[in-house]
Amino acid sequence: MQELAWLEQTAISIWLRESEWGFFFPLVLHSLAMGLVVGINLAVALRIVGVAPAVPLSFMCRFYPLMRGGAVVILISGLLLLLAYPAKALTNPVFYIKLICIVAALYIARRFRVRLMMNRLHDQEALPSHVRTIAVFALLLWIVSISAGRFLAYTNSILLASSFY
Amino acid sequence: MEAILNFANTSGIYAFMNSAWGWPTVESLHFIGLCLLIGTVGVFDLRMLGVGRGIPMVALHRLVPWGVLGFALNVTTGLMFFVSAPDQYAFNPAFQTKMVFMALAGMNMLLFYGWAQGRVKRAGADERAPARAMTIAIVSLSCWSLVVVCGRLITYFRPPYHWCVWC
Repeated sequence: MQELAWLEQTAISIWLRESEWGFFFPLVLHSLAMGLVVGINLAVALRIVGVAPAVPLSFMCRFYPLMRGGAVVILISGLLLLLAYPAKALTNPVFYIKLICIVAALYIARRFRVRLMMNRLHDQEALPSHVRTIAVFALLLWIVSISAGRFLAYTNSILLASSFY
Repeated sequence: MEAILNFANTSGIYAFMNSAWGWPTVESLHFIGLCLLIGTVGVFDLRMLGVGRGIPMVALHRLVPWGVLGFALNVTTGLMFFVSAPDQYAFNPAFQTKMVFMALAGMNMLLFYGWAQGRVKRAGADERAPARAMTIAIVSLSCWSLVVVCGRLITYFRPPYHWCVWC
């Protein structure tokens, strides 16, 4: 807690909290990159489940570079948001639920690329049911991570660790 | 304003929104709808601009109904926000600007289906969309991104009444 209080008193953390737009820019970038990354993942999952069956699955990996770029923006903007209110997130279990869901969903996205998109054989055929189940599970993981992100703003028990010192 | 708040009260929306999980639950749905819209309409726009070549645009367009679902979800949840705190939205310049960009995105969509759809259907799987469709794709991506930016700006304004343009 003492370390978090120290972090909150660094110049950049104070700037993020107290300047007029310091918090807004990472916040809006986090939202836009969320739309891109989760959006592309939803499109891939929907294709695997069987919506838009004429889309050749192997070419969906051409959206992955954008997804990776978006993930980097999410990570950097997320770290800045965390730096503004470190104790608020780190003392809230909801934050760890969000992180676990995102890591798991991104791992599934990677497996989809390695196992399905590298092989043109999967382009036209319907995918086996266990693969479709995994795609539905990935959809659920994204829904939980987005919801956890929203609930983070409402469920914190501590706003600033510095208030204890 | 009175009438809107009255509706929110009698319909139970106001009570639901201000219950323990009401507001964040509806916000979560609003964000999920956003991702559905970007993941279908936005991905289709990107394809028209040349990302994901090899995917026939007609085939990818089959995802768009899910974007319409996302949009419907966002209109519904958006109305729930609005009726629960109408003065925080109606007088809010960020909200007003957001509505302008949504209207632009809507007109842009009509332009696509009326003026560019045929040519897009004829374009090959390895091609970009024709120039007019690419312009429409850029406008679409810009409008929806600005809708998100304005949406996040809404909470940055606690508007006084005199900001309302038409009152």
